[in-house]
Amino acid sequence: MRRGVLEYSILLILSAGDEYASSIIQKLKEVNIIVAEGTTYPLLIRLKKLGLLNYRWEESPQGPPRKYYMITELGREQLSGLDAAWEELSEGIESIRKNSSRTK
Amino acid sequence: MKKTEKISLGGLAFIVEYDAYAELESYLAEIHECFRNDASADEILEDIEVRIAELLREKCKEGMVANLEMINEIKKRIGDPKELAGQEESETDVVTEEETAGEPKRKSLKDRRLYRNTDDRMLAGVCSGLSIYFNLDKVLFRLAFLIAFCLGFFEAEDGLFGLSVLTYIVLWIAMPAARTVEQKCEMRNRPIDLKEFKTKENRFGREINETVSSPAFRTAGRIFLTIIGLIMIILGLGGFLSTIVFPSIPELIENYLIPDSLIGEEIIIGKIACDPTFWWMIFGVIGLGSLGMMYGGIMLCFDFRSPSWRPGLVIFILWIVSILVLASWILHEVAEQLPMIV
Repeated sequence: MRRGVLEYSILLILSAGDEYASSIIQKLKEVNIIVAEGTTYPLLIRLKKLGLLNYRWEESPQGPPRKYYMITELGREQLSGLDAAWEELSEGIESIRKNSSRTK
Repeated sequence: MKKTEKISLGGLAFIVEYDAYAELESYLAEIHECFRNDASADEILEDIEVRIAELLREKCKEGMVANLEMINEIKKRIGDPKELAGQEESETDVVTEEETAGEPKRKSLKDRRLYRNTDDRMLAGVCSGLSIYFNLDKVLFRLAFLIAFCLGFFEAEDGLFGLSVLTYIVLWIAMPAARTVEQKCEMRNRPIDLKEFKTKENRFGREINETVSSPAFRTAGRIFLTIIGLIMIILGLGGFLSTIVFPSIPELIENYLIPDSLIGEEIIIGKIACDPTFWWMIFGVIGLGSLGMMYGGIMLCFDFRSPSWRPGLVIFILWIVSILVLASWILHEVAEQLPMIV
């Protein structure tokens, strides 16, 4: 489930704007969704293979060019689907939590 | 003080301490191993490397040296390799469980492969490798070859000499040397595990070249030098003892060897030969020479190092000086005597 949530978060972040991998990682860490930075890379590559995001090479002042990620049209479509699925899921979980707390 | 390595990581240049380098290398190898089954393994590893380089550059500015602490901090941030591979891990676990279920746990003979063990060798690692394969002491194999060799050499048994040498050479050629970590694991039939990459024995084995600097040749060289040293000591001793008689020679010559009448150059030679000074100088020359020989012989034979005041050099210089003194004295005498004869 973690992986799915992580992929969802990446798409959300990129829908707001193009980012370098390092800033994606930073945003994810800020909200405590990831602890190990290395987990993002296989996911970024997987999402690119699925065509949900893409990257271009950007020159960087200190050193070699780095990947600059952006969401694709397909990615945005997938994202709206994920948004709907997430809302459904969280509503379901919330109601179960409310029910169980009532019986305590 | 530590040794360092220069590396290129994610396109950036770093100087890292040797232990930090080893840690980083094994970390990257572990990650690679975890993504073994992934088609985009190379790209993932590349991206991770770039990230590691970014983080390292923050901690380690240009001109500074990266240490183990930095690497460990970075490892914590990037994460445990197994964690990174995520779901893949559970899949491979299932597979290996099924495979090993039906097989015995102990390291069966047929699963080992015959390699030469160059990390623990006398000559080429043949006996060492054989001992690992058959699970017997390597001394047994070495004894077998040596005894066969000696018997053959001293012709106690026909053809054994050639047989032993030939067998060894054939094995040397046929058995490959276990150089990589995988080969070493195959040699001992250990599973090729991530932790094997970390052990020092597997990685840094013995980084010396074949044959030329093998222990067998070093021992042979030592024996040879010891014998030479011994000969030098004996010669030196002999020469030294002979010089003892020198001071008394002039008398002997004067009384017994010189005929009563001498002509021409013979007079000079006779004069010189009777002069005790001459013989004292010869004593010096030969004495110092013998002393030098004995000294050199002792140094070689017992494999000593020269003391800091270098007695060998001192003796050599004194010897040269004594020769020069002798030569100039002779010339002086000849020059003196010449007008008298002519």
